[in-house]
Amino acid sequence: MDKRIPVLKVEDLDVEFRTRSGIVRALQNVSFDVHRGEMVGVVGESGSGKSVSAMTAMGILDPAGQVTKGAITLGGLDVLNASETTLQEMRGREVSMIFQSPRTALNPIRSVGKQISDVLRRHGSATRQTARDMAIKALMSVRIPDPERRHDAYPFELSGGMCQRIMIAMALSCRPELLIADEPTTGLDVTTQAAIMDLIRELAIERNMATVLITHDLAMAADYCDRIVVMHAGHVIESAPTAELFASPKHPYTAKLMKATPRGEGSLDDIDSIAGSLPDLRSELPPCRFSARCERFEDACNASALVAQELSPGHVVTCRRPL
Amino acid sequence: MSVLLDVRGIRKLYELAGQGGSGNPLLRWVRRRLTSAGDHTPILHAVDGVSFSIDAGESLGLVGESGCGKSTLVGMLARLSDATEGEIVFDGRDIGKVPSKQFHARPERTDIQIVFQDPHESLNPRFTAFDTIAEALKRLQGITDKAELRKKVEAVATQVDLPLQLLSRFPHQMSGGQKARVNIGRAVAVSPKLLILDEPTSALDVSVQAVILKLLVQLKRDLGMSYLFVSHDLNVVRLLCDRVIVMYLGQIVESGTAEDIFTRAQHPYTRALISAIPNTDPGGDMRVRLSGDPKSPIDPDPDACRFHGRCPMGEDRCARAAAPKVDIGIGHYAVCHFAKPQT
Repeated sequence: MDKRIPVLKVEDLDVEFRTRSGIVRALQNVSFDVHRGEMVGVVGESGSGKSVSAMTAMGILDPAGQVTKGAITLGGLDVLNASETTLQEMRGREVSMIFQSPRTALNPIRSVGKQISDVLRRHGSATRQTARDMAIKALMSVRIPDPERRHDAYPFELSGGMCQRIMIAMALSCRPELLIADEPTTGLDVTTQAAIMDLIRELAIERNMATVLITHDLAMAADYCDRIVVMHAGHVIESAPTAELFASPKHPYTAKLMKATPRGEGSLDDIDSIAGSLPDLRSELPPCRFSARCERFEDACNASALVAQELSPGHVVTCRRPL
Repeated sequence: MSVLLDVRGIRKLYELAGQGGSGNPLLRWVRRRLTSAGDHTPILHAVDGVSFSIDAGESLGLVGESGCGKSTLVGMLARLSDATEGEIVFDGRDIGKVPSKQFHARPERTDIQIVFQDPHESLNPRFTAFDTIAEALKRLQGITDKAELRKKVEAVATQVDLPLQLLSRFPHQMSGGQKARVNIGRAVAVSPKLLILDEPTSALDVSVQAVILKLLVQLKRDLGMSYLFVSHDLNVVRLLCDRVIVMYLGQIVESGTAEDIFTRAQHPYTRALISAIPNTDPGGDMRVRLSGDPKSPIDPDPDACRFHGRCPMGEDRCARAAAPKVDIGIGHYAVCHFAKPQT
């Protein structure tokens, strides 16, 4: 496992959205990297910029969004300066994405097997003759029972968990280097969620793939990821190996988030919500976007721009007064 | 404690007329003459013989995966739909006999209220927060005086910690947590005895979830309500409920105190549910995992355990006989061939 050259490297990324009511500073100075064979969790509340980061990395940002600063390198390719043709080649082959709500992400009027074949023929080596066999193999790899018959099924005939398996089969059919899973289990039952996450982990290990898991569920990230990146209001505020993050969270927000997540034991008094809400990203914001919600806030916090500091190897926190 | 709600052998069956037969004799005759379809009418067993009770002041958790009949059951208990069979005894009166269309005129309508899933979807987009809460008071308590109504609504808003200046806002102008409060306020405005909560926090961010859960606990204490708490987030159920029932394919497979269910579960399905909860402690992997999907609820085999085929412990006898209800001790029951009474 080569730890030095990451599969995905995001550096100092700034993204803005131009809207009628002003410029939304969706991401600011976002940096993280993902290595081969590693699963990285990107965790945060809704609106914290998790999905925007992923979409920018894939080069599928909404036209209203603009990258104003930074660089993204994906398997040696400079994503931000690449042509659309190059990006199209890259997507599916080098990097794939699994979206939330599989039922709406799949084409409702095309059989699932055909949808997998489409990917294989566009990005892989499949021809018209071999596509069906390869699609069935892809279905088998995600443990779909009776793949021959399921090949011709339409999304509405399959359960939510089954549709998500199809999405995974499609995403992984061309053996990408990097898989981005954006809330892959939202809307699924706990039992199905566990099965889907087990499958993603198993396939990631089997193929030595880099995986980014975007989720708002800290407990799930803890369960499956090697490393966790915590985001808040468009900033990466902390990133660390999972065990270390849980043992000693350094950013007040991370600690609060952990406190807010119900655990197996303890009573209601042990959990606590986070006061306030995300700041309005259209307004002029202080250097620390958490300052309005933070209990440890001091005037010095917002005196100058924040710098990420590495407290211990791999544990980076962006806070002037870490815990 | 006195029993507030007693549900006895409730069932909800749906005839799937489109697939085999139909209630209409003419259609049935045409179908028999002109198609090869049999005369058998497939029946979907959405809720199949469920019995349980809720004491006054108790909170009962109802868990199970989607499609197990939770929402159908809730619909019947809230008297929004009629049961095919069975009794719903509320406060000593059988309210199951009252057709759901006439239930709104009954005094019990005020006593049973429901907080629907997903506050973003379940509020009327053209009603302000004030209108939403006032509507319940107007309809069910007949309050028409404007000043009185305003006073009442403001009292409710204070109760659910909704800032009064938000009362004039429409749902799209409010955050998820605020909408959840409006939704809860609407339900508790008429001081119900039983509040049914259908996944009240599933659409909320973790950061606000805790404060809503605490609000619910507080309201229960202040107003002396009973809760039926439907959820598939078991961590939340554990925090809020005294007792838990677990449903699978229209039937209760295990019931007991929250403590018993989470630490001494007997039914393999309950165990799988519990071990599917993501765990914040990394490591420690001894998980029960289920494969495949549940069986079809259409015409289930009465002489087999419904969990058979997905059950990690399944044996021949599970396919030959329906599982017995085993009394494990002190109000803890499991419907399984393998469940053993504790000695």
